[in-house]
Amino acid sequence: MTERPDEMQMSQLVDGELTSDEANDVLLNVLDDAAGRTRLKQLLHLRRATAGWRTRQPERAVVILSRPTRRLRVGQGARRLGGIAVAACIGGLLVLAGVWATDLIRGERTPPPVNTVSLYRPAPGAQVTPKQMQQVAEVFALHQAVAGPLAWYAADDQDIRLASARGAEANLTPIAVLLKLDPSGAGATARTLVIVCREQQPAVIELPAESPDQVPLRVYLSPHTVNGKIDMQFAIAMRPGGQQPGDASQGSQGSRGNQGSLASLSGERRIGLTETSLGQLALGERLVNVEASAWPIHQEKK
Amino acid sequence: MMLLADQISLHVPRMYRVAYRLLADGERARDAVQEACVKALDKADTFDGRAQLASWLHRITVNCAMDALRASARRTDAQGPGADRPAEDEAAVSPAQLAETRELSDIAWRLLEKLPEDCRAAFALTQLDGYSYDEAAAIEGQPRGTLASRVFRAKRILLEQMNAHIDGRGDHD
Repeated sequence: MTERPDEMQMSQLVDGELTSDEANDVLLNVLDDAAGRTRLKQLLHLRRATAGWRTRQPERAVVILSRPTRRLRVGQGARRLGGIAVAACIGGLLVLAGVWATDLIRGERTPPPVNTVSLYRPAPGAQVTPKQMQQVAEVFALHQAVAGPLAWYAADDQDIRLASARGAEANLTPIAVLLKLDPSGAGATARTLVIVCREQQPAVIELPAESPDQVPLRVYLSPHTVNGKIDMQFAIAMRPGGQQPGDASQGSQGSRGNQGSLASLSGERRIGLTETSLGQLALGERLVNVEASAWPIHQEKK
Repeated sequence: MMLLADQISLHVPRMYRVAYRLLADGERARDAVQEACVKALDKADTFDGRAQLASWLHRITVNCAMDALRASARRTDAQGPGADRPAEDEAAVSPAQLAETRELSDIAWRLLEKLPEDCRAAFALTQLDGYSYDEAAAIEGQPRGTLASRVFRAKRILLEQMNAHIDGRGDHD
């Protein structure tokens, strides 16, 4: 076993293409060969120099649909947040008049339930971008400019809700929360809620179902900032069938349950800009992954 | 058994790297991959199960990327160093190692074009796109041994040229 190490085998070694026995043989031979060690080091450097390419991946999700006629271009999906922001500007004014802005916002909606069969996500825990943070801050500021100080504001691609602040509530730091409800399985589309509420001020937000693929939703949030992150108490309840869910705050911390057709989830998490799982809702035969990211809005003013 | 769409989703990162290498633009690469996924599902009945899914998807991705390239009629040198260059794993190495790696990486991109075509393709598939030797061999339609040999030749040429480049720079210092 003292023959000169085969450089081609070394090349395969650094590429992870040898069996463990073959790798051991190459390494054993290199031990006694200074030139071989130098060559192996060079090959490893070259391998490392290309690592950035091999780990590159899309920054946003790629949606894979089974029906080409219902193509949902990735760009459109990725711009949904921007769409929400625009819709929020329009919808917020209508909400002030006490109506749901559903019909108008439908103009911005993606097509009706597409048959989404798979989804590639770039990485676990997608990160909120500075641009998204800025959009949320601008929309919230715009709503406040029109409606006065808000206690909370919530929007998805179909609905918008907001509530006026009372007394000193307006002085509390606004906390932005992106809440994503991502049902598993074919034919399901994720629903993302943009919520801005106040630090240490519980908000109870109800969003009715506006399409057959949605279910009424009640969200309870109580955030406070700890070292730049958000400690969030939450309770989320969904009920299929069109009725508003009952009191979501009934569940104990960290509990999840399915009382009849009601699915609820509650608990407390420390959340930052990286998407964090809050758990899963069992909605009939389908699991809904609930993920959130959150940040205090004043950070965006810097 | 996995749905085809689920299987395709496992290949998306590599499809993206292939498209990125050709288009040199993250957004356009992602659009090309999206298009490739749609086409793959659309043409699922034409997929010959004897072929490797990786090589079939690779071909579709290259076609979509080339379509995008022709459509834009604006070719950027995907292999040149620039602002959109891939990021190294900065947490894993020291600043000195990182600087050295970046320098090697930059030199490698500049020298890549000088490789013989067969070596360049083998190198790009295995070192940049992340295909295994077996997958790259299937894509290239060559035996695994031939592919391994081409990869090694590419590395040897690159290392020689990189060493010469570094030595030459040292002479000027």
